[in-house]
Amino acid sequence: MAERIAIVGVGQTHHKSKRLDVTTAEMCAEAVERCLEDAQMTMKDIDNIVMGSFEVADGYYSPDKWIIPELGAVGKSGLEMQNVGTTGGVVAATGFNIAATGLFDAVLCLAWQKMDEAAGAFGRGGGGTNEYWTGQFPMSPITNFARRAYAYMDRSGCTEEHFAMVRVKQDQCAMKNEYAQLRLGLTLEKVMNDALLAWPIRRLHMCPTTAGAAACIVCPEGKAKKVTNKPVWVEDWYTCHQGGSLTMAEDPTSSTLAYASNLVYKRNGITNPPKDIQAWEVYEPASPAELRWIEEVGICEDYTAWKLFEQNKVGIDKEIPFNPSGGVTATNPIGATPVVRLVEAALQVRGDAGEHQIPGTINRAMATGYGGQGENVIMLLRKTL
Amino acid sequence: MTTEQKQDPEFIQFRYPREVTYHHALGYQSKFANGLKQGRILATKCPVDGRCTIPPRIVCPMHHVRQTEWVDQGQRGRLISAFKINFPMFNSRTGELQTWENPIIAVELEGGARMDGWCMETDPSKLKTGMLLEAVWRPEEERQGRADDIMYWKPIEE
Amino acid sequence: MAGRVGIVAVAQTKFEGKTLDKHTAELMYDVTRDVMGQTGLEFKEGSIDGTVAASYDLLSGPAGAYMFLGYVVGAYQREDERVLEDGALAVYYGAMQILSGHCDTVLLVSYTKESAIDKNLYEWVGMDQIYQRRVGLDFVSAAGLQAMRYTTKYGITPEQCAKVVVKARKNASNNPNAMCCDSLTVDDVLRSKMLCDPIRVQEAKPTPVDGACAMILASEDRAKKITDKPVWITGLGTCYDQHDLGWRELADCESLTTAAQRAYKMAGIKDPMKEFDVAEISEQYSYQELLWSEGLGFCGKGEGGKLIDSGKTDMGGELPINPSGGMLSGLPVCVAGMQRAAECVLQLRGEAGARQVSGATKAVAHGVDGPAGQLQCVITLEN
Repeated sequence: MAERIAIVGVGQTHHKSKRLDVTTAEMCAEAVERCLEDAQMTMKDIDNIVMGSFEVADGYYSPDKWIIPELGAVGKSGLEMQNVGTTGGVVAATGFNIAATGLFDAVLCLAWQKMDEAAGAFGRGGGGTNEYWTGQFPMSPITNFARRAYAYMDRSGCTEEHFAMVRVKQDQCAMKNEYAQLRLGLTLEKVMNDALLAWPIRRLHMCPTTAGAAACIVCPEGKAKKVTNKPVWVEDWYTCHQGGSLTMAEDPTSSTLAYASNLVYKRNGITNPPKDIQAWEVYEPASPAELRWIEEVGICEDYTAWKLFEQNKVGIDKEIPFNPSGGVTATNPIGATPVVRLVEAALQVRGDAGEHQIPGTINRAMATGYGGQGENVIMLLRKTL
Repeated sequence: MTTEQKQDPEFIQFRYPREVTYHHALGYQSKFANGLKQGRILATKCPVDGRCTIPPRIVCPMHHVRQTEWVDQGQRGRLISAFKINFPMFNSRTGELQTWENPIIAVELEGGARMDGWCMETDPSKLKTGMLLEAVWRPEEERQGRADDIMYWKPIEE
Repeated sequence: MAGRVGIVAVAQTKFEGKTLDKHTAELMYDVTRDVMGQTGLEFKEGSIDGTVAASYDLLSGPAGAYMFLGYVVGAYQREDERVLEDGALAVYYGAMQILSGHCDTVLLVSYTKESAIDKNLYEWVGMDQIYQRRVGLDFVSAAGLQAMRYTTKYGITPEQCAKVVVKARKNASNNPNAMCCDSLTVDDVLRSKMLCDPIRVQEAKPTPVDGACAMILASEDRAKKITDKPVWITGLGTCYDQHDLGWRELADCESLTTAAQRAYKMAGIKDPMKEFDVAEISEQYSYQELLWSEGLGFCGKGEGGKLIDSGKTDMGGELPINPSGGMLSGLPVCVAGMQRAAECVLQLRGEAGARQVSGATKAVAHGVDGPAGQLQCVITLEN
């Protein structure tokens, strides 16, 4: 039964801080329409839909029920998934599993987030804290990353300026991505003097709130080859959420990224990540985190990534093409973001990323999802089987 | 009464407030909450590797063994990290938005568990990793089994 | 490589109104350890590959509640995904994980504490926010509208609906896990207060109910090694209906018919009434057992009332429906669908005790989510 699978179409909305011109359902339909157009398919060709968002942050319960009709998908099989921040990654993994059974011709994976509707639901609801303990503190992703950044500075010896270098690089990439939300033309001074949220995290270091959606269509091998001459093969995936600590107090570096990446590398014969993988779209909710993630995915030694930025080695056409789309500090529709990473990685493999296309042949791309206290989803794509 | 024609907005948004009240059962965590009311910090301990964790866990995540042993973590600990938030956040006891003068810290307790707390010292530059801290509790009648029953951690001399 | 998917162990808590002495994690832990104990499987490589949970964060508390519960079901450095639907969809997806070849053995867990929050409130939030929520529609009133349309169009009588409840509670007296097993008469049911015309209080699923359910799925080869009584999943089907109630013909359940057809096609079932020995379905309101029977193909359109009158769906009848007492005897939402499948497994293993349908070889489990059964899920099983 197990089939090899490929992404045959991708689509995303132009991400904005507010989409007051559409309902959530309409916004999802926009992403789906673009995706179907990219695949040159219609909704008739889709026979299973996997969807998800961090619905509680938007103030919803079970939103798939009223989004399905807007997509023209009444009568289809499908289900909704949610895993907080990694939701999009779980949606993708679910779609991959369902497509790989070979029981369906085409599986649509859709993820979205409309944070302009939340009106503080995320913060008031405890922003990813548990109902008993961390929810009693004024904690949020901002404070989580403050702890991470502090621990990183402590262990690596880097300075605030290096965090600013990361943010400026991300912005330079975003300026070449029409879908990115924040395209600001940042300088080091602007970042280093921006409002301090929780030292050493400044406002510009953190991801924005976004309204956006992204979708992709996954087909088993036979169908994929019929639908497109540029299938993006899904080599492997792994959802790795729990690393043992529930609070950042226990472990301010808490993350499953290194563990999960190494597991995926091992079972796919990847021994030299910076060489074996030519495009990276890794979910980094804050600029300081990007430094640590670069190390955790095996691009360089622990606590040395800041040197790569000092040496100007990270960028679309540089030695380390990390988050050429501008990444998550430019755009973060939380539930959708891992699918945005997947879409961007697929575009890189196809050579369709336009102005932010990494030069050269992209044989392998990696996309990740992130959530909570270091939860990760790994998605590995290939140009040829 | 104005004579100007009022223009309908092209796109309408509407507010939809709703109040949701939860009734949570703490279950096995009640022991921890009662401990706080009594001025004690209790943590669950993994029978395999001896790791103590706060908040209490029903199983150790690594070994998936039921944790039934509770260990008093003492009243002192060492500072692991501290940060101050520069933006208003909700106070979960009052439900109100407020600014926070006291840094939030991570403390490693005598018993080995690490927990979050607030620091009495409001100037972060005076805080050093490893400095000795002592718990300052709310008056007993004000304790509710909540995190802020420990009002602050106070730096003390070695 | 996967072959068939087998269910090798099931567990459920005793379903109770309010488990005020237990944290959600304890319910999850109890059922997880139960199925692990039955099979000897552990959370390590070559044993359990991953977990699929089914629950709703909104029911548990603040945004992201599952983040702090995943570790209880073995998510440490291991794959885990959460289905934001009724537990039947977790069985559907768990089976897909194995059929895809990605996993060999999967733990499924579903948990809900209805006592934590007012059920009507979150179901109201589940309606679309622009048109239906603003007129105060929630799942109860959606069911009321469907019940009114269904019973009016096909002449289903209040007595026929009440019989469903009487049968449910009578069956529940054989089920040690059931919450409500009081013996009711048709009169008792019809004399109870009106909840949402035409649904009376005694015709609605009791609430709040707390509980959890777990099962372990494995690929064919693996399943045969783990147990000598694997139960095979032979068919899977889901289907979404329209959301706006006005767009639907509420007297029919087209989405269930479609979902059932998808599952039956996979399983090679042509005559459900004849071929199945037992059915465990999700009926939150009395009329739903009659309507879902039609969608599942146990009888023709509009004949649900005649079906219950015939006695064919009683214990001892041709196709007993809900020997466990079903949702009308007290099951939490979200857990219900997985628990229906678990009951089918017990039946097919011959382990259903006093509620056993003797010689059962083929069963159908059914789960539902959304207003008036918008999302339907059908799972067919055989031993």
